[in-house]
Amino acid sequence: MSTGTILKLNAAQLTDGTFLISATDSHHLAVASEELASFLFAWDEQSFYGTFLARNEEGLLLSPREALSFFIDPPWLRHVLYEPSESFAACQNTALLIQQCLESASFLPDFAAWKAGYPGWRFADEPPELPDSARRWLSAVIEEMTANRSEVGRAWEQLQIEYPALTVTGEELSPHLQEQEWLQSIGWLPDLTPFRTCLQLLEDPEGENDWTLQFRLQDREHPDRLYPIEPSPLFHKNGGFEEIPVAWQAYSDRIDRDLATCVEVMPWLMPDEASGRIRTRLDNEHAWLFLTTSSLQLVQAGIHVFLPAWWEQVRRTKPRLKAKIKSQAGSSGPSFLGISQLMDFEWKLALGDVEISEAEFAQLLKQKQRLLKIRGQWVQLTPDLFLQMQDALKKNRGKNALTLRDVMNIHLRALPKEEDGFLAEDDEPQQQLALEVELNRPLQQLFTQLQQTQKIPLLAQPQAFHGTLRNYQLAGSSWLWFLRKYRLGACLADDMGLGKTVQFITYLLYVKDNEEQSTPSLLICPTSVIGNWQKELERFAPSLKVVIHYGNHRKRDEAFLSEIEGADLVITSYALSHLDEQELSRVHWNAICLDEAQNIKNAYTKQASAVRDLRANHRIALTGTPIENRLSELWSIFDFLNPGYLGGLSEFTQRFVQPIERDQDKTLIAQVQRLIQPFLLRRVKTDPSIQLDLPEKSERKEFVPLTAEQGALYETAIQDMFARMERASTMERRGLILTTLTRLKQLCDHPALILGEIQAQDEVGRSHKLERLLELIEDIRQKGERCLVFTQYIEMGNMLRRVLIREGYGPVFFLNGSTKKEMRDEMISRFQDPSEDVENRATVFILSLRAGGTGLNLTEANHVIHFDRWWNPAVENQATDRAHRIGQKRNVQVYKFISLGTIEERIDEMIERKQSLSQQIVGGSESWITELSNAELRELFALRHEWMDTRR
Amino acid sequence: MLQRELTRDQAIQTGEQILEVLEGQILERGYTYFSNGVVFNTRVEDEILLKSDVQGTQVYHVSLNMQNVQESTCTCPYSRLCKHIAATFFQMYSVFENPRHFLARSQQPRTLKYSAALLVPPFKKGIQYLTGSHTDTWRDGQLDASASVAEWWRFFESWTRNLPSAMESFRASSELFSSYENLLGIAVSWPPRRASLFAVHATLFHLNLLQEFVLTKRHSHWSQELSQSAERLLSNLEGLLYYWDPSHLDEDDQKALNETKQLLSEWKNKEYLSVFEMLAYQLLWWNLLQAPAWVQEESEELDLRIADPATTPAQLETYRMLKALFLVMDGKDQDALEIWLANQQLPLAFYLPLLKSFARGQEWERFLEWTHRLERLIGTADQAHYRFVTAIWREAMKQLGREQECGTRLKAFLPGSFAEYAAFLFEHQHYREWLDLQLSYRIPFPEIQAWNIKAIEESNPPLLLPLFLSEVNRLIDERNRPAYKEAIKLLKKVRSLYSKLNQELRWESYLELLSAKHNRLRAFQEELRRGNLNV
Repeated sequence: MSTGTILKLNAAQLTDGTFLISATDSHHLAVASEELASFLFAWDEQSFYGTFLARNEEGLLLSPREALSFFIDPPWLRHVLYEPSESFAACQNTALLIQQCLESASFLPDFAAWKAGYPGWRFADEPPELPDSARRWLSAVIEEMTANRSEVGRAWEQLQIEYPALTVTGEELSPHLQEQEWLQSIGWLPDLTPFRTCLQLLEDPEGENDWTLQFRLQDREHPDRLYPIEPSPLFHKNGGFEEIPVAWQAYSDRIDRDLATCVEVMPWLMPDEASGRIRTRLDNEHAWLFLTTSSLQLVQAGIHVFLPAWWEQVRRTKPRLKAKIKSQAGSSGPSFLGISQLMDFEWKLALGDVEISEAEFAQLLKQKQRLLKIRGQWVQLTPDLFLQMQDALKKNRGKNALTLRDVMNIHLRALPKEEDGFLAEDDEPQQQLALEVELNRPLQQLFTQLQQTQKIPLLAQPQAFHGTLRNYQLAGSSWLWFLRKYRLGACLADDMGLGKTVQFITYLLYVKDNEEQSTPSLLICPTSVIGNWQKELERFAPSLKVVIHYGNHRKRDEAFLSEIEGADLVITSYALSHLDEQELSRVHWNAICLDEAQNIKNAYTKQASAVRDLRANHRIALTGTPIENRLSELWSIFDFLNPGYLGGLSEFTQRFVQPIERDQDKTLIAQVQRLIQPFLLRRVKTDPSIQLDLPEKSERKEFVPLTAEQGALYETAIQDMFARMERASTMERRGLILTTLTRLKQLCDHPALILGEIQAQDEVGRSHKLERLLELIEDIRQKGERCLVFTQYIEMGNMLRRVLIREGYGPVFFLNGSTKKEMRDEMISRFQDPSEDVENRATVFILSLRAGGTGLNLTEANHVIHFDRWWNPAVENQATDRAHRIGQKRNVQVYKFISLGTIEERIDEMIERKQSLSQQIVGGSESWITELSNAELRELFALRHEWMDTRR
Repeated sequence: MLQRELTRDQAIQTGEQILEVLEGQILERGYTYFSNGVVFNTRVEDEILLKSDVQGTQVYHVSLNMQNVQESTCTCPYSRLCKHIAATFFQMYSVFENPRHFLARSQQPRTLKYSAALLVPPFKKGIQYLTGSHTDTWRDGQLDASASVAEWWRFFESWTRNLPSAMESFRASSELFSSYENLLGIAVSWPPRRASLFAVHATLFHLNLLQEFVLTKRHSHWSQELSQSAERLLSNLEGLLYYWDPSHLDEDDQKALNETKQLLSEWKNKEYLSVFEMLAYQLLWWNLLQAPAWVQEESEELDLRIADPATTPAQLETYRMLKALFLVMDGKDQDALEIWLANQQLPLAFYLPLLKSFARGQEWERFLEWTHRLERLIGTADQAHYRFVTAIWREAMKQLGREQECGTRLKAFLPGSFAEYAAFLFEHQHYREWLDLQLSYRIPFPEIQAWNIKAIEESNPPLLLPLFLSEVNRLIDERNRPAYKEAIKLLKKVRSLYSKLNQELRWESYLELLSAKHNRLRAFQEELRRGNLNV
């Protein structure tokens, strides 16, 4: 129990007016601030029992008002002995005096304080031994009360509106002002004058540089009664008051004083003191001064001012800088070259509806024209504004001149009109002028067409095209062709299977038909689909001369140039685009097309930069993945298509990628989409306008139990991993997890895969997946149909092929990364060709997911079997779409094999829940797994025993 | 055996009585005896007498009266209920209940019940009770009952020739008391009055010697051990004088008293008087040397010296302190207190003999007046002294018919009276005062009982806000997550309090301010969110 129940209290007023309360206990030790708060304010509800009092290391800091109520009625504990020191007791006394003063309202504004620059107050009748600090305390208390949002605060605000003189302090107060007058001006003392003096600024209806200042007396009782007076002191001394009420004539002194105040505020009203004449005709310069500064000073000095009604409007108008594109630009259509094209502008400063050029502005400034009437509207021109304009122009001229890219950027990023109006309400003065672009007619049209694809003229199907194009395909080709005319890069991102290939082929035909042939176009695509392209080109546009630049026998150096001489299209792979950069960069290509453009998604790879550096008249990207949601990938592709359009990568990351990934900022997402929309065409199969008649696709999951052998191996693998993980470094841990993951997945397929058996015994009986596969294929064969089997593991593919052939399903094709291109083409064409002999034409086509997942066209199969699972359903779907695409005539049946109780089932659950399908997972890498904790790993990997096969 | 002869109820009921009348210290010592297994032959006689033999310094025979514990007896020298009785009680109680729990309970703050026995010295009449184990070691002839006081003192001097050096080499208090008790052995067979006077002088002599020892060998530093020795000597002195029978004094007695007076008047000439010596001086004048002429003589002598301008300030202070006693004898209590209270060094023990004397004389008004002036000393005294004085104080209030006021008057004895006063306030539902008390003494929140809080919540919930809020502040200041979690729990209670009071807005502004005040404490903010208390 504490015996420190005696507190010796000290108080001191600090220089800023706050009070420091400190205390020592019975042992003369300082009491900590926290403790002091709970000792002194234990029952003080206001401060939440001392919780929210300001404090420093020495003690509590009370505002003047808090201190007042504390000293008068301390919310003390009754079981603590408080011993006030002398200073404390003195504060208590002063507090009492102030309290009495406030209660009896015997205080008044302290003119001296107001003159010194702050609103102070003093005691009406000052008690004799009042300490110096008391006045300051009183003032601070009242200030605190008026600053408060309470009733007093509101009343004070109201008072300030009624008596603007209250806000005038320090040097702004006229040195000639007497206290009595001042008290009247702030409404403290009643002003018994029956009128107030008013000034009104009138514009001359005729001239543009002519204003009249009207002096009037306003009847306080009837504010609508205004009496004009002659602002000459001599005048009324001579008794010239015909129109003024007789009773007012006694107050001529007051009129004199008010007039003197006016001259004091606006010395230029009386240029010649001797004459004593006040001038009432003003030019623009003086009118502007009156409107901007003098009027406020007059009001504060107690003179009423009537301003023209439009002034407020003018004051609030926000100037903008407007770039008007000169009329000829863009008018000649195709001559208009690319996104980096410099634009020719005429700059104007826009003030409301009024626009003035830089030269005009400079001229007006020179004439000291700050207030200007243009087309019946007054506008305000300040040197500041001119500087801002020059500043802005400097930034947008010469080296920094605006290009088509900037114009598009400004135009597309600008907010819709109504939001613009909203922003104008912002009362912070903007340091930078808002930039606005006014498009000329051709550009206007171009932009409309870019934003609304259906406004692009639809071209007819080229004569040379063999086959029939669907409508949307024609639209796509026309769109590519339209963008080509403006040299704007295009990204065709149609859904898988909508025929991006034929659209590009059609585009090539348009180019051949409509332009003088100069150099060939270049197509860069993944190796696995080169053959496919070749086949499609032969089939749909045999008139195009195609050169495949691929393989060990490809031509180099000069031979390359002669090889491609006269060709329409050169096809090469991504790998070669980098290896053979030297050859490829010697040509200025008619067009460059990237198939599966996501291959350059990593902007920093040599491949990507090699591709970006190639020169071409037009750039096209084809991709089937929805790139608009993958921002950095998007940037890479767009930087290839329209270099610089989205700015530098780091700028783009800072501006969009990070905030969007962090906050999912909707407006930023919308902004990005507005920016890319003109250059991106994406249709999906479900679009009603597509009218695709693809057959249905139905999916089925095949859940298969593990065999006892698989189960035992599975357990061992996991235990082995956790055992070895204990001693593993971080890097080793990662490696260990990834190997184990692979082992587990392979195990689910077939135990022989991890046992390294070259020729496994009893292959079928050891994996129910394999058993099930054989049953399925038997069914399919019975129906005379064909199937694709995807697996991630080469060995599995080999085993499948071996087993299937042995079981009499041969021939069986197996396409993987190491399959030679000729072999691929051979296999695909044999599989796809219905005229092929049954003996040569496989029923089953095994593909490795990685090599066979994209680009191939295998519509002859209408069954797709995924022998093992992949994290990303999109990758599986892409693979499925080898069969489910244009050309497919039957319903497609998809089977997904899942081993029960294993990691595969866990993967499936995660995909189903769509949970934690973060970017990384979707990206297809497995590295995220390595970052899991041991417990999470166990949860993910562990074998759920209820699904173990117990048949053996 | 006991199990069959007694019931649990009897044991518990006896225990309640024990708690009322036995000091915690005594119970603790009794428990040690009991747990050392020195209580034998415990048996019940006449249904209500619990008898036993306890092996202490000697074997003592205890008779514990279970119907009226105050009536219990023991053959040991201690005049009040002793540790042997306590040990016997524990022996019996342990058959039915856990004696450790009982002991723990006895160490809690509790009130002591008044009984006249409180005012009796702690040892029985007769100096044989003061000699400890030193008896019969004396050959006759060294000193006999007829010797004068001056001869006693000469004998003391020679007897203790080697004592100071022994005290220096060995444990001082043991050596001192060994010598003291040995000395008392001489007079055991003397006529009682003579013996007791002898004992008084032996005590004074040893007190003197102790004082001298502290002054010369210990640089005036009274270690706890030595001041306890002095207190013990004074306690003996007080007891001896209590039993002093001033009637029928013979000539020898008168002579000895006269010598005693002479000796004592010399004391004021000493350069330095310790508090203990002053107390001894007082005890003797108050109890022994009451002859009006002597008193007047001494008092006047002191007046003269006080008035003497040659007196040094230090001496003046001594004279005034001594004079105060004569003021009390004169009925000028306030003047005396004026002098004594000005000296902040004087402990409550200094006043105790007088207080006891008032109580014995049933001068209840006077007693209350003194306790009123001594409030602060009583409140800050150790628990044993506090309990002792307040037990008599209660009796005084009762005697004067002011029992009802006791509760509220306890406030004057804070902090000593904290537990009692808090219990009183709570019992009478002075909840605001009760909370005020807890807050004033900064009682840690966890020490406040849940049922206290519950009762207040039912009768006047807003009173709890300061308590809860200050605890929240304290918890947050601990700056660790478990404390934050506690704070969140409490904040939820605060929320429900505010909502009970229909002050949701107040709650919101509190929470907002709190969150803003601690916006740098990320863990705290996290806990706020977790508790769904974020703003």
